[in-house]
Amino acid sequence: MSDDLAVDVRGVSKTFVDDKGREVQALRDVTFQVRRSEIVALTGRSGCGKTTLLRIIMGLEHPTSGTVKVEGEPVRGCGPDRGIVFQNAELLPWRTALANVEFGLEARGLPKAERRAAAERAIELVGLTNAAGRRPHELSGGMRQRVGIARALAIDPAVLLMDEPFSALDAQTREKMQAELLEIHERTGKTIVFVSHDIDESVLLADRVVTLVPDPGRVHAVLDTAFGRSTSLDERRDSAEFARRRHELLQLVHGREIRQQDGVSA
Amino acid sequence: MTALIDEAATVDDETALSRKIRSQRRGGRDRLVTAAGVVVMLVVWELAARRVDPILAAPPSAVLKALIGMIGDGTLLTAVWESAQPFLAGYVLAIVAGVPLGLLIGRFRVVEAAIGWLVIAGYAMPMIALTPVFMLWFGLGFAVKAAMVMTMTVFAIAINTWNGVQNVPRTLIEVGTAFSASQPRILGQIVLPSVIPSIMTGLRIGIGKAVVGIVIAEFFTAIGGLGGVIVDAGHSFQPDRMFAAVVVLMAAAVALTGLIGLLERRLAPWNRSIAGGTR
Repeated sequence: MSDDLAVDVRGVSKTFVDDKGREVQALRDVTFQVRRSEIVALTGRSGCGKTTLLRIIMGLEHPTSGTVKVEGEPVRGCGPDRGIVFQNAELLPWRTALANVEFGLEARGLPKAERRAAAERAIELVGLTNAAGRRPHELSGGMRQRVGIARALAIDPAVLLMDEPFSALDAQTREKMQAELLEIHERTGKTIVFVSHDIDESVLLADRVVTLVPDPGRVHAVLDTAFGRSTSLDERRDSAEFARRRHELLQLVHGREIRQQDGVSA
Repeated sequence: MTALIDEAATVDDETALSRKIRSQRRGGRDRLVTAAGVVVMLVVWELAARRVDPILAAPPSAVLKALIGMIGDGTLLTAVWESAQPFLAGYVLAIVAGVPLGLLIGRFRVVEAAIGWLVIAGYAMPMIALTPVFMLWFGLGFAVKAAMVMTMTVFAIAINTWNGVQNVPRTLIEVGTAFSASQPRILGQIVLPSVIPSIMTGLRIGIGKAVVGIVIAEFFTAIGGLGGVIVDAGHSFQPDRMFAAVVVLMAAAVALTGLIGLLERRLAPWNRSIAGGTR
């Protein structure tokens, strides 16, 4: 069973110290697992620590206690077994799309020709071959995010981590990108963990949704939301399961919210 | 999928093109306004100067005549050449010292705590107060001029570079960390390119500082160069020659600043198109 695990988060807590020196607990005792080739969404209201959790898996933050393992290896800082896609793409403005994708490969000391070939494959995977020579300011928001995805895929990570990857895009572009993400997943079989505050997006894309609640951030429930592998987004959206799961997830996030507020006022 | 991408590409090209056309139109209008400004200033100067004793002031027509005369007898070329050499030497030295200095202060808090105050103090220091000491240290020749130009310029370049390093987006540095880039790679591939626009700003401000530096040096050492011409002409009641030298200095400063702007567009073409939207 554990051979099958891509990400294993156990008992992770994170405490920050704020400007005034007070300790703020962002995450408390978070435990969940992601199986290989699975798509898992981390969702919850703002302040529930979902982005912090993703950053801990990436190795950009260190947990105060608890462990994270990726492919059985404990996480100590960032590594090429994980590729991350940031909310606003975060491309280097002076580099072309292709050169941005190459960035992640450069640190690994690959020969230039190999690097170029891998970057071109990744650019092709996200459908940007025609725009490979453009700089970020010459690309639309959706195209920039595609480059961000290509950059993360180019290093061929075991796990693809995405922090609200489509939240900065307009509705139409977001839908296209969601469909493409499923397409990429089907082609590469990558394990994907993404953060989203969008309930619909979580239900549509993820096989399982981990809901988090704030103050301090902790896992509230894990919901099974898997559709058949090659069910299209439209089919998913029109299905009865979608409506039911969406409702269930809203209850989980929203219902908890009401109880939280009662707790605070009491 | 392909259709979507092509559509997106067209939209992008349209915005880029219309922006370009708009900026060209605006560029043409701006040049016209600048030219009109120059003409108005020349006319006012001409009319005002003609009412004044020729010992005290010279109208543009007289300045032009003096300028042609100075070009003819070779005085101007000699003076420009004498000024240009220490100017360039001091300016280049200031870049060579100022950019790494600013990078170090901006990148390492220890260095900032140790010498940050010194750079700020140096930037605010009136150069003229140090002239006598510089003359003792560097004599009256080429060296003192170059040293004063450098001292005048280096702090402006260092401060702007320092500022630039501090304004490198943390998210971009995080990209380096996330993709396992080493510290030197982050410095070379992320910090340095991000700082280029700030360095160029430093170089542009530095031109003005360097012009002041060379003139002060030549005033006090009174040996040749454009500063020397100004002092000599002033002392011998030849305002036309004096103004001619001043005009040449100003024109050189404007031309050099423009050159830096060109260089900036070559080195950091992404910067203008990002900031260009608001201009």
